[in-house]
Amino acid sequence: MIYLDNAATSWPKPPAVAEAVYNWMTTIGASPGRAAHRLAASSTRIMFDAREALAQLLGVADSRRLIFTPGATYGLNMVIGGLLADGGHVVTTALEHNSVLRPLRRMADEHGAEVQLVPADARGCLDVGAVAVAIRPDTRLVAVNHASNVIGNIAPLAAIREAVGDVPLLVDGAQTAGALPLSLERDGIDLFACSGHKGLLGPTGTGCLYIRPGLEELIPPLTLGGTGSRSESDLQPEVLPDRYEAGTPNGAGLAGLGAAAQYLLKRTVADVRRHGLELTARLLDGLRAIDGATVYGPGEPEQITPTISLNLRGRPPDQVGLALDRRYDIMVRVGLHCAPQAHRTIASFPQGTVRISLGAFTKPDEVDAVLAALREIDAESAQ
Amino acid sequence: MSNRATCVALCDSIHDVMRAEKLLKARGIWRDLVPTPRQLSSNCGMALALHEQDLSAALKLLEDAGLNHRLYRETDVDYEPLQ
Repeated sequence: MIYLDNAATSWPKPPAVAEAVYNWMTTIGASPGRAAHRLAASSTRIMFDAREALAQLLGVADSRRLIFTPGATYGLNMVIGGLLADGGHVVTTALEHNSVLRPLRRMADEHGAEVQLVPADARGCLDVGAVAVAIRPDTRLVAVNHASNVIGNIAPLAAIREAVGDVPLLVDGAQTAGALPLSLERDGIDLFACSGHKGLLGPTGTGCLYIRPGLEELIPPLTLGGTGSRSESDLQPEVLPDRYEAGTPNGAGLAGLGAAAQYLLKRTVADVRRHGLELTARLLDGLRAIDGATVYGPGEPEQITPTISLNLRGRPPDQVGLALDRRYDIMVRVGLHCAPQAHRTIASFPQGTVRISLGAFTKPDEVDAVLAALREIDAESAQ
Repeated sequence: MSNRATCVALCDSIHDVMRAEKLLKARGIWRDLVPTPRQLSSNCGMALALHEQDLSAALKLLEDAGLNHRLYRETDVDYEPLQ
């Protein structure tokens, strides 16, 4: 079996991730941060260590500013709902995932927010100048996909940071955390939401949100409740991370995420990136040799994460995906990938594309296998 | 040296208690994670018990790290605030 759906959920995981989850479930189990008995203390330490490791990985000095969430979507919803609660102007791009577009639509429909979509060209490249022009005195937020989950395009974050001035910049890092070397504070990122189960190599149901100092005052928590702190009060604590982490945390998941972060710190994200670049070049070269293949995006490994969308002439993407799964034992994702605007941009709407997304453990012969399968499917279509 | 802890350090959050514990451990200072004594109004349900002879070293460590904290000494009947 060949798994090439890493942009949705990375798999396999480093063995230490499953071991950490198993160890937590079988020998610890207690609620983190809710008691001082030995099992709860162990659980709390594991959660603390996970946060510290993740902060190191993402370039955040004070790990209290990393809020654990169930995934990128939760953090994106919290920021968008908070900063646009009274409406206001927001700038975003045509490459966004529905985890940004749908909360923005809601803020427009129910809170009077004015959403301005900056277009990208047919290869999915953003015009930073258009972002700068879109900024107005009443712009409250700029929300940018760090890398497209459809075509992998990496946004020019440094230029965007400069273009937006003092406006808070929210980066959807679902596709880049663990896949690209990051230093959030050095790079001036105000808000960064990511999931733990993609490039970070952790379990599903994990993720985090980074909040730059001062912005927490503008972003109310989505959920209120027990935190294990200030229990005598019916007011949510203001201190981070407690302000945003009501309810029993995902102890088992965070144990796995912590182990994943440790793995990445040891291997280095730069090494994962090198691996991805090599395999992406191999995949792109092979796809160019297939007559009926249309490859979307900029077509340069350096400009994308290891995620490539394509279509085969005369074969709808769902048929290609089904053939890859049933005949070749190769798992890819087809369709719109929860990003309809991105597909409109690259002219693959509404049928979508076949998306091949490589991961930290993808092997060269697996890339060769999907290329061979696609060649055969394409040859059949041509007959 | 008595094994009985005589002082308690409280922090603003469980995260800060964990950080304090990590710093104290790295410096080789004895500490024990305990439930916050009921007599003390606390921000957080966990506290760190300390030996009195380690107080000045612990205090410096917490202050250098910028961790908000409160220290108490156990008396026969209650806890008295230090600092």
